[in-house]
Amino acid sequence: MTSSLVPPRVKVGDRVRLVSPASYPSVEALNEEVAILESWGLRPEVGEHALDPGVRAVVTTRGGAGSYRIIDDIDFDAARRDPKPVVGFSDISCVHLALWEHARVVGVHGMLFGVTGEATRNVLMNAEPIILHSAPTALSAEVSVEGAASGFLIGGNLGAIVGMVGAGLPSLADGILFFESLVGSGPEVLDQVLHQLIASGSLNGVRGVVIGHLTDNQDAVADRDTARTVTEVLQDRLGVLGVPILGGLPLGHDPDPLAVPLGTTATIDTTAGTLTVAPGVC
Amino acid sequence: MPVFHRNPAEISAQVSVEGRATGHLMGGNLNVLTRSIGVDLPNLDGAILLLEDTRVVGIGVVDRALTQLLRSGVLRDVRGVALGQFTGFDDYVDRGWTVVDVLQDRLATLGVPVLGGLPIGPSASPIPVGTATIDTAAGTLTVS
Repeated sequence: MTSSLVPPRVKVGDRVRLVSPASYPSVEALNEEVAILESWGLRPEVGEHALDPGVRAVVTTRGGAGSYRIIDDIDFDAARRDPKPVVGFSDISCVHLALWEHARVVGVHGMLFGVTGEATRNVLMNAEPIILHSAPTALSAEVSVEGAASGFLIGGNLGAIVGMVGAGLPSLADGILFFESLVGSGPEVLDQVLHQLIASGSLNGVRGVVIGHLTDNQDAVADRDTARTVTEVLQDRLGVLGVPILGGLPLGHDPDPLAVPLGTTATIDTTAGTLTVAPGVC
Repeated sequence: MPVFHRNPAEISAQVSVEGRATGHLMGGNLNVLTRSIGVDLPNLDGAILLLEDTRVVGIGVVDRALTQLLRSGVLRDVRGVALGQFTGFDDYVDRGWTVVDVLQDRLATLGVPVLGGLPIGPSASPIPVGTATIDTAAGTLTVS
């Protein structure tokens, strides 16, 4: 595997570009995002083109749907020539996966608002390791396989990940798979999705799994006689991989999630309940 | 030979790419097909692809599924598309788009005839498997 391209850290005074490759925000939300970036001392620009030289980070305004439609048209050569982090989550995971597959550029799973914004600023502007702690009360903390593992961190939203099977999903071999929430889906759909990932060989060689936000969506269960919970489905399907699994991470569609770099080396330690990720900028 | 007629009351009847095409009828539920990519999806070369679906969340789910099928290349050599029932999508609008817009936008890129409005879906009678012809001028799917 080609080694990853770690972008330079974002500095006060840098130009950053706000773009909407998935759904578009309200004018009010966009103005708020501009104000947040300005409060970090950055020079935000709102525009269509993302990879201009001189722009030091690409911040997506929101997730939603649609980025999978345009990822084949990304100028991957430009992304390689001048590595800069793309910030986003949810549907933007498609962009992160495509950039990893074709350019090996490190991205940031994050966004601008609230606590998440502060965590994102830290990932972008400080070249320091990120340490996240598993919250024992979180639903996904119920999924666990003990152990320690290291590898490049890859993933994001589970729906985005499975949506790229057979359609450009990067190899996860030697990686740590991170996933969070399958919006609106219950145990039955989750089971189908995990089956597709495993049976297609997409998880071959993965060294460990970390899980962020989950919703139970028990109401979506079609057959209550055979119903399992989402965490039982995850334990059952992912347990067979024989690699460490750490749940309970504050990432994804939580009320106040944190942020992590994608593409740098991550270490899981289930005893300590930590995920330690090498800096996403240098 | 069983003949299925386009029912203008079905929401997918509003989707159309004109033409006539013949091939073996394959497919069914859009979600099941999509979850089979890379696993056990049969080769769809030369097929008339049948699609039906039921709304779970919104039209984004349909858009994602169709885009994954398209991007995976499995639809590269289909000869035509037959659309059955898209249940729960009547009156569902997301930022000006309906399921009709999504189906038309995604499927028209295949450059093959698309016949919508067929009374085929989970609650309809089973349809035979065989060689099928779609004819958008006649509004029919004929299975031999």
